[in-house]
Amino acid sequence: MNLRRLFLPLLVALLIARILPPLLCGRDANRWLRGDPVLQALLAQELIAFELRDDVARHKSTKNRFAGEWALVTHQMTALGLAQLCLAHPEWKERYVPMLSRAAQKSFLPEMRDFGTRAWHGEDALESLDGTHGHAYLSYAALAVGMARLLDPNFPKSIADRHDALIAAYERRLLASATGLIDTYPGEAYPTDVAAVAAAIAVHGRVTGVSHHRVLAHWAERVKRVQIDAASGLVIQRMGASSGKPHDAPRGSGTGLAAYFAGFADRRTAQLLADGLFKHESTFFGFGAIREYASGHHGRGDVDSGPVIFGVSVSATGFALAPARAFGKEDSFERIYRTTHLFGMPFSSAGRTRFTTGGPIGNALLLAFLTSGPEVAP
Amino acid sequence: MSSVLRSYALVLRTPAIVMVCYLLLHTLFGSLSEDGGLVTPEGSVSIGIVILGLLLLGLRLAVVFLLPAHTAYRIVRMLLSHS
Repeated sequence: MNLRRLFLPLLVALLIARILPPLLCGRDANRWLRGDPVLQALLAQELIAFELRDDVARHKSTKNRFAGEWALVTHQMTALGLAQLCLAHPEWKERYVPMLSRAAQKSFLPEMRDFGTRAWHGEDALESLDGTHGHAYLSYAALAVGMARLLDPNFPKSIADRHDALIAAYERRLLASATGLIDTYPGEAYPTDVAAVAAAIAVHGRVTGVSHHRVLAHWAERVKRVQIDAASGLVIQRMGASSGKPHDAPRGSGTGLAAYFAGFADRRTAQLLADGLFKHESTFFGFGAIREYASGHHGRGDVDSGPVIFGVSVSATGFALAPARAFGKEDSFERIYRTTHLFGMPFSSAGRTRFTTGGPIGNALLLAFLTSGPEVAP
Repeated sequence: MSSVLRSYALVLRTPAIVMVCYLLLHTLFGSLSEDGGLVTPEGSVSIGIVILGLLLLGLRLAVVFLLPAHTAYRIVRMLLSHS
């Protein structure tokens, strides 16, 4: 009797602890997987409200504008997320195309790439297109502009012309690289950024009808041969562009984002990266997260990974939502979404939903990743 | 009968207070996070928001994992003692 009184309550408590949290945190996972238009519109409205506030602030003052690396990514991912929604729901084009086009154009402003210009000792990416320096960071904006051009028939011709010239420079630099890498910063190449370069080139091909097959095949072959660590299946985070030597470990955050970008360019390469990524999923009580470092490698969190806690990283976990959804890894998507919901703390009001911990950049990233799929190359 | 009901109410009182506190904090943090999360859009840290956010996160983990299990434990114990 005493044993029953002791163990039965404990057993019930353990069962509740095992069953209830995944149910509570995963209740929207299937709706995101199926592409529930209500959930998608609520998060999209949050980003639109952010872009409208940003427009007002931009007109009011020339100082303290939202600019730099985080701003570039926020506007880029907002544009990509809204573009993916338009591809999934063509009837939403009228509502979202003007806003995604604005966000993409903002990501192309000089103040957004100041950080790169400083890193290249004052050399602006768009003023040095004939040069050999990679400037791969601007591919994030180039990808957003490409998606905007794909959907916006009124996209400004002056920006489209500069976009054409940037893509031509990227194509020439990538074809000249034996490693399939071009520099982001002097002496530093990031395979993830080069995946964004390939994505931008591929989307440019969809917009203009120009064939970029040769450069995309060149890149895809080098990803497999040079950039992926064979033992772990993860891409090496930083490398030497000309030597192909690793400057960092194979890591989950770089692989997750590279898998998303690679989807725009080459489905098989994206699937290969996704397969490597999901080998590094850790699960606990129905929740999933991606380990940042491959086995045998160790390190702390940085600007790419965010905090690394018990070996799993915030960024790698969030980035994994995109390939999980795009390539039908439904169980992983559901587990990782539960973790995102638990720590993202979504909050709904006034017809909008935001994940409160990540701020605008977190919401923009999640809009792009939670709606990933329609952008993937056939 | 009323004493049994009172003892059940007592078991649920603390979880109810914690839930109300959690919902109030969540609403407050949700309202304050319109322009930035734990980090601002520019990537800097707002100390007040971070403290509130971490407090809410701790409370959320407790509400999701511990509170239901602890409440279930106490209710089952009470049911067994009254049987």
